[in-house]
Amino acid sequence: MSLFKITGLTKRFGAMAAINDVSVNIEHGGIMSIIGPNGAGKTTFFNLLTGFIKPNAGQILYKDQDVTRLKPYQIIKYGISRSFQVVSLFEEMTVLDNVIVGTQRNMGYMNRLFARYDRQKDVRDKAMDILDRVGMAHMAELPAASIPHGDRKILDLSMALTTNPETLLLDEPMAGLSKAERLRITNVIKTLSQSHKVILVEHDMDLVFSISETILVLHHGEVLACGEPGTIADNEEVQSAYLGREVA
Amino acid sequence: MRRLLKDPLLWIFLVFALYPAIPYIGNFISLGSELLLWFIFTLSFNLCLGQTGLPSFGHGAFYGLGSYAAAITYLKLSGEGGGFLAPLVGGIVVGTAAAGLLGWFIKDKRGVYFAMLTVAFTQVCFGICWRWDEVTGGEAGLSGIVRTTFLGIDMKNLHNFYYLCFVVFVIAALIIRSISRSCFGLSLQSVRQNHIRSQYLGYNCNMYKFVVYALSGAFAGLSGALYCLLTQSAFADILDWSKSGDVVMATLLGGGTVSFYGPIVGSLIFIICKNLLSSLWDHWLFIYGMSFVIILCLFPTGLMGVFKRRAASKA
Repeated sequence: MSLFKITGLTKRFGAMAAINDVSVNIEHGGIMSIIGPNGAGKTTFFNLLTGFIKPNAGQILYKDQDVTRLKPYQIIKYGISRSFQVVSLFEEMTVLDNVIVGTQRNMGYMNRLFARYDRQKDVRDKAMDILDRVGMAHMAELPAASIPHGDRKILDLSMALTTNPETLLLDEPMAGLSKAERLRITNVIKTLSQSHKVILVEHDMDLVFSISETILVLHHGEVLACGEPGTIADNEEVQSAYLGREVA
Repeated sequence: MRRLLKDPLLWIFLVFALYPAIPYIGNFISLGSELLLWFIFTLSFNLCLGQTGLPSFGHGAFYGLGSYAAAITYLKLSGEGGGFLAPLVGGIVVGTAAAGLLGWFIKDKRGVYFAMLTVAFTQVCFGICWRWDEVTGGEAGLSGIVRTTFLGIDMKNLHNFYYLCFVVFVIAALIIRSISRSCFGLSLQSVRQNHIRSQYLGYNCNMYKFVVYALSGAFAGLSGALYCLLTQSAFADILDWSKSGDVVMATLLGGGTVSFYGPIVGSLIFIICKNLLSSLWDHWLFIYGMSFVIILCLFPTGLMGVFKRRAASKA
Protein backbone atom coordinates (compact mmCIF):
# COMPACT_ATOMS: atom_id res chain seq x y z
CA MET A 1 0.00 0.00 0.00
CA SER A 2 1.47 3.35 -1.02
CA LEU A 3 1.09 6.37 1.16
CA PHE A 4 -0.14 8.45 -1.76
CA LYS A 5 -1.15 6.85 -5.05
CA ILE A 6 -1.71 9.60 -7.59
CA THR A 7 -3.08 8.91 -11.06
CA GLY A 8 -3.53 11.33 -13.95
CA LEU A 9 -3.62 14.38 -11.70
CA THR A 10 -4.17 17.58 -13.69
CA LYS A 11 -4.73 21.14 -12.55
CA ARG A 12 -5.14 23.91 -15.08
CA PHE A 13 -5.20 27.62 -14.43
CA GLY A 14 -6.68 28.97 -17.63
CA ALA A 15 -4.64 27.58 -20.52
CA MET A 16 -1.67 26.75 -18.33
CA ALA A 17 -1.47 23.29 -16.83
CA ALA A 18 0.30 23.79 -13.49
CA ILE A 19 0.14 20.05 -12.90
CA ASN A 20 -0.10 18.00 -16.06
CA ASP A 21 -1.23 14.38 -15.91
CA VAL A 22 0.95 13.42 -12.98
CA SER A 23 0.91 9.81 -11.90
CA VAL A 24 3.18 8.82 -9.07
CA ASN A 25 3.25 6.47 -6.12
CA ILE A 26 4.65 7.93 -2.96
CA GLU A 27 5.97 5.01 -0.97
CA HIS A 28 6.98 6.11 2.37
CA GLY A 29 9.79 5.95 4.75
CA GLY A 30 11.30 8.88 6.57
CA ILE A 31 11.33 12.34 5.04
CA MET A 32 10.31 12.98 1.45
CA SER A 33 10.95 16.24 -0.35
CA ILE A 34 9.29 17.74 -3.38
CA ILE A 35 11.65 20.01 -5.31
CA GLY A 36 11.73 21.71 -8.66
CA PRO A 37 12.63 25.03 -10.25
CA ASN A 38 10.37 28.03 -9.74
CA GLY A 39 7.03 27.52 -11.44
CA ALA A 40 7.43 23.76 -11.55
CA GLY A 41 4.07 23.24 -9.86
CA LYS A 42 5.31 22.29 -6.38
CA THR A 43 2.88 24.48 -4.50
CA THR A 44 -0.03 23.48 -6.73
CA PHE A 45 0.84 19.84 -6.20
CA PHE A 46 1.03 20.42 -2.47
CA ASN A 47 -2.29 22.25 -2.44
CA LEU A 48 -3.93 19.43 -4.37
CA LEU A 49 -2.68 16.86 -1.88
CA THR A 50 -4.09 18.83 1.03
CA GLY A 51 -7.47 19.61 -0.53
CA PHE A 52 -6.84 23.34 -0.73
CA ILE A 53 -7.68 23.32 -4.44
CA LYS A 54 -9.55 20.74 -6.50
CA PRO A 55 -7.98 19.04 -9.55
CA ASN A 56 -9.49 19.20 -13.04
CA ALA A 57 -8.85 15.52 -13.49
CA GLY A 58 -7.21 12.59 -11.79
CA GLN A 59 -7.34 10.84 -8.48
CA ILE A 60 -5.46 10.95 -5.20
CA LEU A 61 -5.55 7.89 -2.98
CA TYR A 62 -4.20 8.17 0.53
CA LYS A 63 -3.55 4.68 1.87
CA ASP A 64 -6.05 3.33 -0.67
CA GLN A 65 -8.77 5.81 0.34
CA ASP A 66 -9.96 8.39 -2.16
CA VAL A 67 -9.24 11.87 -0.84
CA THR A 68 -9.34 13.69 -4.19
CA ARG A 69 -12.28 16.00 -3.60
CA LEU A 70 -12.37 16.25 0.16
CA LYS A 71 -12.48 19.60 1.88
CA PRO A 72 -9.60 20.58 4.18
CA TYR A 73 -11.53 19.89 7.36
CA GLN A 74 -12.41 16.42 6.05
CA ILE A 75 -8.93 15.58 4.84
CA ILE A 76 -7.38 16.08 8.25
CA LYS A 77 -9.55 13.23 9.58
CA TYR A 78 -7.52 10.84 7.41
CA GLY A 79 -4.39 11.81 9.30
CA ILE A 80 -3.04 14.41 6.89
CA SER A 81 -1.99 17.76 8.28
CA ARG A 82 -0.17 20.71 6.77
CA SER A 83 1.81 23.79 7.66
CA PHE A 84 1.92 27.00 5.66
CA GLN A 85 4.65 28.71 3.70
CA VAL A 86 3.40 32.12 4.76
CA VAL A 87 2.89 31.58 8.47
CA SER A 88 -0.81 31.17 9.17
CA LEU A 89 -1.68 31.84 12.80
CA PHE A 90 -4.51 33.29 14.85
CA GLU A 91 -2.76 36.61 15.25
CA GLU A 92 -4.88 38.00 18.08
CA MET A 93 -4.44 34.97 20.32
CA THR A 94 -1.60 33.92 22.59
CA VAL A 95 0.80 31.20 21.51
CA LEU A 96 -0.94 28.72 23.78
CA ASP A 97 -4.43 29.58 22.52
CA ASN A 98 -3.24 29.08 18.95
CA VAL A 99 -2.42 25.51 19.86
CA ILE A 100 -5.55 25.07 22.00
CA VAL A 101 -7.79 25.79 18.99
CA GLY A 102 -6.51 22.65 17.31
CA THR A 103 -6.22 20.61 20.47
CA GLN A 104 -9.79 21.22 21.61
CA ARG A 105 -11.02 20.24 18.15
CA ASN A 106 -8.99 17.07 18.28
CA MET A 107 -10.26 16.17 21.74
CA GLY A 108 -13.87 16.92 20.87
CA TYR A 109 -14.34 19.98 23.10
CA MET A 110 -14.95 22.47 20.29
CA ASN A 111 -18.73 22.70 20.58
CA ARG A 112 -19.07 23.11 24.33
CA LEU A 113 -21.22 26.20 24.71
CA PHE A 114 -20.76 27.00 28.36
CA ALA A 115 -17.41 25.50 29.33
CA ARG A 116 -14.67 28.14 29.46
CA TYR A 117 -12.04 27.15 26.95
CA ASP A 118 -9.16 28.30 29.14
CA ARG A 119 -10.27 26.14 32.05
CA GLN A 120 -10.20 22.77 30.29
CA LYS A 121 -7.25 21.23 32.02
CA ASP A 122 -6.75 18.23 29.75
CA VAL A 123 -6.89 20.37 26.60
CA ARG A 124 -4.44 22.80 28.13
CA ASP A 125 -2.07 20.06 29.22
CA LYS A 126 -2.13 18.49 25.78
CA ALA A 127 -1.44 21.88 24.17
CA MET A 128 1.44 22.57 26.56
CA ASP A 129 2.76 19.13 25.78
CA ILE A 130 2.89 19.96 22.07
CA LEU A 131 4.61 23.29 22.76
CA ASP A 132 7.06 21.46 24.95
CA ARG A 133 7.93 19.03 22.17
CA VAL A 134 8.94 21.88 19.85
CA GLY A 135 10.66 23.82 22.63
CA MET A 136 8.24 26.72 22.87
CA ALA A 137 6.61 26.12 26.24
CA HIS A 138 8.27 29.20 27.76
CA MET A 139 6.48 31.42 25.22
CA ALA A 140 2.99 30.06 25.86
CA GLU A 141 1.47 33.24 27.26
CA LEU A 142 2.95 35.67 24.71
CA PRO A 143 0.76 37.13 21.96
CA ALA A 144 1.37 35.19 18.74
CA ALA A 145 1.90 38.44 16.83
CA SER A 146 4.78 39.46 19.07
CA ILE A 147 7.19 36.51 18.77
CA PRO A 148 10.18 36.27 16.38
CA HIS A 149 9.72 34.90 12.87
CA GLY A 150 11.53 31.65 13.54
CA ASP A 151 9.26 30.93 16.48
CA ARG A 152 6.22 31.78 14.40
CA LYS A 153 7.31 29.17 11.89
CA ILE A 154 7.62 26.60 14.65
CA LEU A 155 4.26 27.62 16.10
CA ASP A 156 2.72 27.13 12.65
CA LEU A 157 4.26 23.69 12.60
CA SER A 158 3.09 22.78 16.08
CA MET A 159 -0.46 23.79 15.16
CA ALA A 160 -0.29 21.20 12.40
CA LEU A 161 0.58 18.64 15.07
CA THR A 162 -2.61 19.24 17.06
CA THR A 163 -4.75 17.20 14.69
CA ASN A 164 -2.73 14.13 15.64
CA PRO A 165 -1.58 13.51 12.06
CA GLU A 166 0.19 10.52 10.63
CA THR A 167 1.49 12.46 7.65
CA LEU A 168 2.79 16.00 7.92
CA LEU A 169 3.04 18.12 4.79
CA LEU A 170 5.31 21.10 5.32
CA ASP A 171 5.24 23.92 2.81
CA GLU A 172 8.68 25.55 2.65
CA PRO A 173 9.43 25.41 6.37
CA MET A 174 12.74 27.25 5.82
CA ALA A 175 11.40 30.18 3.81
CA GLY A 176 12.77 33.48 5.06
CA LEU A 177 14.79 32.13 7.98
CA SER A 178 18.29 32.90 9.18
CA LYS A 179 20.97 30.24 9.29
CA ALA A 180 20.60 29.62 13.02
CA GLU A 181 16.83 29.35 12.71
CA ARG A 182 17.19 26.92 9.81
CA LEU A 183 19.31 24.68 11.95
CA ARG A 184 16.73 24.76 14.71
CA ILE A 185 13.85 23.88 12.36
CA THR A 186 15.90 21.14 10.74
CA ASN A 187 16.30 19.55 14.14
CA VAL A 188 12.60 19.88 14.89
CA ILE A 189 11.74 18.25 11.55
CA LYS A 190 14.20 15.45 12.17
CA THR A 191 12.65 14.76 15.55
CA LEU A 192 9.15 14.82 14.09
CA SER A 193 10.14 12.43 11.33
CA GLN A 194 10.62 9.74 13.94
CA SER A 195 6.95 9.78 14.84
CA HIS A 196 5.37 11.16 11.64
CA LYS A 197 5.70 10.74 7.92
CA VAL A 198 7.00 14.05 6.63
CA ILE A 199 6.63 15.46 3.14
CA LEU A 200 8.39 18.76 2.43
CA VAL A 201 8.27 21.32 -0.32
CA GLU A 202 11.56 23.15 -0.05
CA HIS A 203 13.95 25.41 -1.92
CA ASP A 204 16.89 24.91 0.41
CA MET A 205 18.92 22.23 -1.42
CA ASP A 206 21.36 21.68 1.42
CA LEU A 207 18.52 20.76 3.69
CA VAL A 208 16.72 18.67 1.09
CA PHE A 209 19.75 16.56 0.27
CA SER A 210 20.87 16.19 3.86
CA ILE A 211 17.63 15.02 5.47
CA SER A 212 15.46 13.48 2.73
CA GLU A 213 15.26 9.79 2.05
CA THR A 214 13.27 10.30 -1.12
CA ILE A 215 13.16 13.27 -3.46
CA LEU A 216 10.44 13.97 -6.02
CA VAL A 217 11.43 16.42 -8.76
CA LEU A 218 8.75 18.36 -10.58
CA HIS A 219 9.36 20.31 -13.76
CA HIS A 220 6.77 22.07 -15.93
CA GLY A 221 4.01 20.37 -14.01
CA GLU A 222 5.33 16.88 -14.61
CA VAL A 223 7.35 14.41 -12.60
CA LEU A 224 10.94 14.53 -13.78
CA ALA A 225 12.43 12.08 -11.37
CA CYS A 226 11.76 10.36 -8.09
CA GLY A 227 14.33 8.54 -6.02
CA GLU A 228 17.04 8.69 -3.41
CA PRO A 229 19.11 11.88 -3.03
CA GLY A 230 22.19 10.24 -4.56
CA THR A 231 20.51 9.21 -7.79
CA ILE A 232 18.62 12.52 -8.07
CA ALA A 233 21.86 14.50 -7.75
CA ASP A 234 23.41 12.49 -10.57
CA ASN A 235 20.35 12.68 -12.80
CA GLU A 236 21.18 14.68 -15.92
CA GLU A 237 17.62 15.75 -16.63
CA VAL A 238 17.34 17.18 -13.14
CA GLN A 239 20.63 19.01 -13.51
CA SER A 240 19.61 20.58 -16.79
CA ALA A 241 16.18 21.54 -15.42
CA TYR A 242 17.88 23.46 -12.65
CA LEU A 243 20.51 24.93 -14.95
CA GLY A 244 17.86 25.89 -17.50
CA ARG A 245 19.15 23.88 -20.47
CA GLU A 246 17.01 21.72 -22.69
CA VAL A 247 17.81 18.02 -22.67
CA ALA A 248 18.93 16.86 -26.07
CA MET B 1 -15.36 37.43 45.58
CA ARG B 2 -12.76 39.92 44.50
CA ARG B 3 -12.94 38.56 40.98
CA LEU B 4 -16.70 38.99 41.05
CA LEU B 5 -16.31 42.63 42.12
CA LYS B 6 -13.95 43.28 39.25
CA ASP B 7 -16.47 41.96 36.77
CA PRO B 8 -17.75 44.88 34.64
CA LEU B 9 -20.97 43.02 33.96
CA LEU B 10 -21.82 43.06 37.67
CA TRP B 11 -21.51 46.85 37.70
CA ILE B 12 -23.60 47.18 34.59
CA PHE B 13 -26.26 45.03 36.24
CA LEU B 14 -26.11 47.14 39.40
CA VAL B 15 -26.47 50.43 37.53
CA PHE B 16 -29.46 49.19 35.60
CA ALA B 17 -31.05 47.58 38.65
CA LEU B 18 -31.04 51.07 40.17
CA TYR B 19 -31.86 52.86 36.90
CA PRO B 20 -35.26 54.25 37.99
CA ALA B 21 -33.53 55.90 40.95
CA ILE B 22 -30.97 57.75 38.80
CA PRO B 23 -31.74 61.48 38.86
CA TYR B 24 -33.25 63.00 35.70
CA ILE B 25 -32.60 60.09 33.32
CA GLY B 26 -34.35 57.67 35.65
CA ASN B 27 -37.62 59.43 34.91
CA PHE B 28 -37.54 58.18 31.34
CA ILE B 29 -38.37 54.61 32.21
CA SER B 30 -39.21 53.63 28.63
CA LEU B 31 -35.80 54.88 27.61
CA GLY B 32 -34.33 52.49 30.16
CA SER B 33 -36.28 49.57 28.71
CA GLU B 34 -35.22 50.52 25.19
CA LEU B 35 -31.60 50.65 26.33
CA LEU B 36 -31.82 47.14 27.74
CA LEU B 37 -33.39 45.82 24.52
CA TRP B 38 -30.66 47.44 22.51
CA PHE B 39 -28.05 45.85 24.72
CA ILE B 40 -29.49 42.41 23.97
CA PHE B 41 -29.79 43.24 20.29
CA THR B 42 -26.27 44.62 19.83
CA LEU B 43 -24.75 41.83 21.93
CA SER B 44 -26.45 39.31 19.65
CA PHE B 45 -25.15 41.22 16.63
CA ASN B 46 -21.66 41.17 18.07
CA LEU B 47 -21.75 37.37 18.33
CA CYS B 48 -21.66 37.61 14.54
CA LEU B 49 -19.35 40.58 13.97
CA GLY B 50 -16.96 40.63 16.89
CA GLN B 51 -16.82 36.92 17.61
CA THR B 52 -17.13 35.26 14.21
CA GLY B 53 -16.32 38.12 11.85
CA LEU B 54 -19.65 37.97 10.03
CA PRO B 55 -20.60 41.43 8.74
CA SER B 56 -24.32 40.96 9.20
CA PHE B 57 -25.36 44.41 8.08
CA GLY B 58 -29.01 43.45 7.88
CA HIS B 59 -29.38 42.30 11.45
CA GLY B 60 -32.44 44.49 11.93
CA ALA B 61 -34.38 41.87 9.97
CA PHE B 62 -34.41 39.49 12.91
CA TYR B 63 -35.24 42.24 15.35
CA GLY B 64 -38.12 43.38 13.16
CA LEU B 65 -39.39 39.90 12.41
CA GLY B 66 -39.18 39.08 16.11
CA SER B 67 -41.28 42.11 16.81
CA TYR B 68 -43.90 41.13 14.20
CA ALA B 69 -43.88 37.55 15.43
CA ALA B 70 -44.61 38.72 18.96
CA ALA B 71 -47.42 40.97 17.76
CA ILE B 72 -49.00 38.29 15.60
CA THR B 73 -48.65 35.63 18.30
CA TYR B 74 -50.31 37.97 20.74
CA LEU B 75 -53.15 39.04 18.45
CA LYS B 76 -53.88 35.69 16.83
CA LEU B 77 -52.98 33.11 19.44
CA SER B 78 -52.51 34.17 23.00
CA GLY B 79 -54.69 37.26 23.27
CA GLU B 80 -55.06 39.38 26.32
CA GLY B 81 -55.32 36.48 28.72
CA GLY B 82 -52.45 34.60 27.20
CA GLY B 83 -49.77 36.57 28.91
CA PHE B 84 -46.23 37.27 27.89
CA LEU B 85 -44.61 33.99 27.33
CA ALA B 86 -46.15 33.13 23.95
CA PRO B 87 -45.12 36.42 22.20
CA LEU B 88 -41.58 36.16 23.58
CA VAL B 89 -41.26 32.55 22.47
CA GLY B 90 -42.77 33.53 19.11
CA GLY B 91 -40.12 36.23 18.68
CA ILE B 92 -37.30 33.85 19.53
CA VAL B 93 -38.58 31.10 17.22
CA VAL B 94 -39.12 33.38 14.25
CA GLY B 95 -35.79 35.18 14.82
CA THR B 96 -33.95 31.85 14.91
CA ALA B 97 -35.80 30.45 11.91
CA ALA B 98 -35.28 33.53 9.74
CA ALA B 99 -31.59 33.80 10.62
CA GLY B 100 -31.15 30.06 10.20
CA LEU B 101 -32.76 30.15 6.76
CA LEU B 102 -30.68 33.08 5.57
CA GLY B 103 -27.57 31.71 7.24
CA TRP B 104 -27.93 28.37 5.51
CA PHE B 105 -27.91 30.00 2.09
CA ILE B 106 -25.10 32.46 2.66
CA LYS B 107 -22.87 30.45 5.00
CA ASP B 108 -20.17 30.05 2.35
CA LYS B 109 -20.09 33.77 1.53
CA ARG B 110 -17.53 36.14 2.98
CA GLY B 111 -16.95 39.82 3.50
CA VAL B 112 -18.86 42.29 1.40
CA TYR B 113 -20.90 39.56 -0.35
CA PHE B 114 -22.14 38.32 2.97
CA ALA B 115 -22.92 41.87 4.07
CA MET B 116 -24.83 42.76 0.91
CA LEU B 117 -26.91 39.59 1.01
CA THR B 118 -27.97 40.29 4.58
CA VAL B 119 -28.93 43.84 3.63
CA ALA B 120 -30.93 42.50 0.68
CA PHE B 121 -32.70 40.06 3.00
CA THR B 122 -33.72 42.90 5.33
CA GLN B 123 -35.11 44.85 2.41
CA VAL B 124 -37.11 41.84 1.25
CA CYS B 125 -38.54 41.44 4.74
CA PHE B 126 -39.30 45.15 4.85
CA GLY B 127 -41.10 44.93 1.48
CA ILE B 128 -43.20 42.01 2.60
CA CYS B 129 -44.16 43.56 5.93
CA TRP B 130 -44.92 46.90 4.28
CA ARG B 131 -47.28 45.37 1.72
CA TRP B 132 -48.86 42.29 3.25
CA ASP B 133 -51.88 44.00 4.79
CA GLU B 134 -53.68 40.86 5.96
CA VAL B 135 -50.88 39.58 8.16
CA THR B 136 -48.61 42.48 9.03
CA GLY B 137 -51.08 45.32 8.80
CA GLY B 138 -49.09 46.86 5.95
CA GLU B 139 -48.20 50.51 6.32
CA ALA B 140 -50.39 50.89 9.39
CA GLY B 141 -48.55 48.14 11.21
CA LEU B 142 -50.04 46.13 14.02
CA SER B 143 -51.38 47.65 17.17
CA GLY B 144 -53.72 46.69 19.95
CA ILE B 145 -51.16 44.75 21.90
CA VAL B 146 -51.76 45.28 25.59
CA ARG B 147 -49.25 44.39 28.21
CA THR B 148 -51.14 42.34 30.77
CA THR B 149 -49.92 40.52 33.81
CA PHE B 150 -46.95 38.21 33.87
CA LEU B 151 -46.47 35.82 36.76
CA GLY B 152 -49.02 37.87 38.62
CA ILE B 153 -47.13 41.15 38.08
CA ASP B 154 -48.97 44.00 36.40
CA MET B 155 -47.02 44.83 33.24
CA LYS B 156 -49.09 47.90 32.39
CA ASN B 157 -46.91 49.52 34.98
CA LEU B 158 -43.81 50.66 33.06
CA HIS B 159 -41.58 50.10 36.06
CA ASN B 160 -42.58 46.47 36.24
CA PHE B 161 -42.05 46.06 32.54
CA TYR B 162 -38.64 47.66 32.89
CA TYR B 163 -37.67 45.03 35.42
CA LEU B 164 -38.91 42.27 33.14
CA CYS B 165 -36.58 43.64 30.45
CA PHE B 166 -33.84 43.86 33.06
CA VAL B 167 -34.19 40.20 34.02
CA VAL B 168 -34.21 39.13 30.38
CA PHE B 169 -31.14 41.30 29.75
CA VAL B 170 -29.26 39.79 32.69
CA ILE B 171 -29.99 36.27 31.48
CA ALA B 172 -29.17 37.07 27.84
CA ALA B 173 -25.95 38.91 28.70
CA LEU B 174 -24.76 36.08 30.93
CA ILE B 175 -25.51 33.50 28.26
CA ILE B 176 -23.87 35.49 25.46
CA ARG B 177 -20.78 36.23 27.52
CA SER B 178 -20.47 32.66 28.58
CA ILE B 179 -20.70 31.57 24.94
CA SER B 180 -18.05 34.05 23.90
CA ARG B 181 -15.61 32.69 26.48
CA SER B 182 -16.42 29.05 25.89
CA CYS B 183 -14.76 26.38 23.79
CA PHE B 184 -17.40 27.08 21.16
CA GLY B 185 -16.53 30.78 21.41
CA LEU B 186 -12.88 30.00 20.74
CA SER B 187 -13.92 27.97 17.72
CA LEU B 188 -15.83 31.01 16.46
CA GLN B 189 -12.79 33.21 17.12
CA SER B 190 -10.68 30.89 15.02
CA VAL B 191 -13.15 31.21 12.14
CA ARG B 192 -12.94 35.00 12.38
CA GLN B 193 -9.19 35.32 12.71
CA ASN B 194 -8.08 32.79 10.11
CA HIS B 195 -10.70 30.66 8.43
CA ILE B 196 -8.22 28.77 6.28
CA ARG B 197 -6.12 27.67 9.21
CA SER B 198 -9.24 26.90 11.13
CA GLN B 199 -10.34 24.47 8.41
CA TYR B 200 -6.96 22.77 8.48
CA LEU B 201 -7.42 22.21 12.18
CA GLY B 202 -10.65 20.40 11.45
CA TYR B 203 -13.30 23.08 11.75
CA ASN B 204 -16.14 23.16 9.28
CA CYS B 205 -16.20 26.96 9.19
CA ASN B 206 -19.41 27.28 7.18
CA MET B 207 -21.30 25.20 9.70
CA TYR B 208 -20.07 27.41 12.55
CA LYS B 209 -21.17 30.49 10.64
CA PHE B 210 -24.62 29.00 10.14
CA VAL B 211 -25.03 27.98 13.78
CA VAL B 212 -23.86 31.27 15.23
CA TYR B 213 -26.07 33.18 12.83
CA ALA B 214 -29.17 31.27 13.93
CA LEU B 215 -28.15 31.66 17.57
CA SER B 216 -27.70 35.37 17.11
CA GLY B 217 -31.08 35.54 15.37
CA ALA B 218 -32.66 34.02 18.48
CA PHE B 219 -31.45 36.86 20.72
CA ALA B 220 -32.27 39.49 18.11
CA GLY B 221 -35.79 38.04 17.82
CA LEU B 222 -36.14 38.09 21.59
CA SER B 223 -35.20 41.76 21.81
CA GLY B 224 -37.56 42.52 18.92
CA ALA B 225 -40.39 40.79 20.77
CA LEU B 226 -39.70 42.87 23.88
CA TYR B 227 -39.67 45.99 21.72
CA CYS B 228 -43.11 45.06 20.41
CA LEU B 229 -44.38 44.73 23.97
CA LEU B 230 -42.72 48.00 24.97
CA THR B 231 -44.30 50.02 22.16
CA GLN B 232 -47.41 47.81 22.11
CA SER B 233 -47.21 47.73 18.35
CA ALA B 234 -45.17 46.48 15.41
CA PHE B 235 -44.21 48.65 12.45
CA ALA B 236 -42.36 47.92 9.25
CA ASP B 237 -40.00 50.86 9.66
CA ILE B 238 -37.84 48.99 12.18
CA LEU B 239 -37.05 46.60 9.33
CA ASP B 240 -35.62 49.41 7.24
CA TRP B 241 -31.97 48.88 6.38
CA SER B 242 -30.97 52.13 8.05
CA LYS B 243 -32.02 50.65 11.40
CA SER B 244 -29.62 47.77 10.81
CA GLY B 245 -26.99 50.39 10.13
CA ASP B 246 -27.62 51.90 13.58
CA VAL B 247 -26.68 48.58 15.17
CA VAL B 248 -23.48 48.34 13.19
CA MET B 249 -22.56 51.93 14.05
CA ALA B 250 -23.31 51.52 17.73
CA THR B 251 -21.30 48.31 17.93
CA LEU B 252 -18.30 49.72 16.10
CA LEU B 253 -18.42 52.98 18.06
CA GLY B 254 -18.41 51.07 21.34
CA GLY B 255 -15.60 48.79 20.19
CA GLY B 256 -17.39 45.50 19.68
CA THR B 257 -14.57 44.11 17.57
CA VAL B 258 -12.21 44.04 20.53
CA SER B 259 -14.43 43.81 23.57
CA PHE B 260 -17.53 42.01 24.76
CA TYR B 261 -18.69 45.26 26.40
CA GLY B 262 -18.31 47.34 23.23
CA PRO B 263 -21.91 46.87 22.08
CA ILE B 264 -23.21 47.93 25.50
CA VAL B 265 -21.12 51.11 25.50
CA GLY B 266 -22.09 51.85 21.90
CA SER B 267 -25.81 51.39 22.33
CA LEU B 268 -25.74 53.43 25.52
CA ILE B 269 -24.33 56.35 23.56
CA PHE B 270 -26.59 55.83 20.57
CA ILE B 271 -29.88 55.49 22.46
CA ILE B 272 -29.10 58.40 24.79
CA CYS B 273 -28.17 60.58 21.81
CA LYS B 274 -31.25 59.46 19.93
CA ASN B 275 -33.59 60.30 22.77
CA LEU B 276 -31.98 63.28 24.48
CA LEU B 277 -29.97 65.00 21.75
CA SER B 278 -32.87 64.75 19.33
CA SER B 279 -35.12 66.71 21.65
CA LEU B 280 -32.56 69.53 21.70
CA TRP B 281 -31.81 69.74 18.00
CA ASP B 282 -33.55 68.21 14.98
CA HIS B 283 -30.31 67.58 13.19
CA TRP B 284 -28.76 65.58 16.02
CA LEU B 285 -27.77 62.84 13.60
CA PHE B 286 -25.27 65.29 12.14
CA ILE B 287 -23.45 65.49 15.46
CA TYR B 288 -23.72 61.77 16.08
CA GLY B 289 -22.49 60.93 12.57
CA MET B 290 -19.60 63.38 12.75
CA SER B 291 -18.45 62.08 16.11
CA PHE B 292 -18.72 58.51 14.78
CA VAL B 293 -16.45 59.36 11.86
CA ILE B 294 -13.96 61.24 14.02
CA ILE B 295 -13.80 58.60 16.75
CA LEU B 296 -13.35 55.72 14.32
CA CYS B 297 -10.71 57.61 12.34
CA LEU B 298 -8.72 58.26 15.49
CA PHE B 299 -9.47 54.95 17.23
CA PRO B 300 -10.36 52.25 14.70
CA THR B 301 -11.14 49.77 17.45
CA GLY B 302 -13.75 52.04 19.03
CA LEU B 303 -14.09 53.32 22.56
CA MET B 304 -13.40 50.01 24.26
CA GLY B 305 -10.31 49.71 22.08
CA VAL B 306 -8.93 52.91 23.64
CA PHE B 307 -9.77 51.63 27.07
CA LYS B 308 -8.14 48.27 26.43
CA ARG B 309 -4.98 49.81 25.03
CA ARG B 310 -4.69 52.00 28.11
CA ALA B 311 -5.06 48.98 30.36
CA ALA B 312 -2.48 47.08 28.33
CA SER B 313 0.09 49.88 28.39
CA LYS B 314 -0.32 50.21 32.15
CA ALA B 315 0.31 46.53 32.72
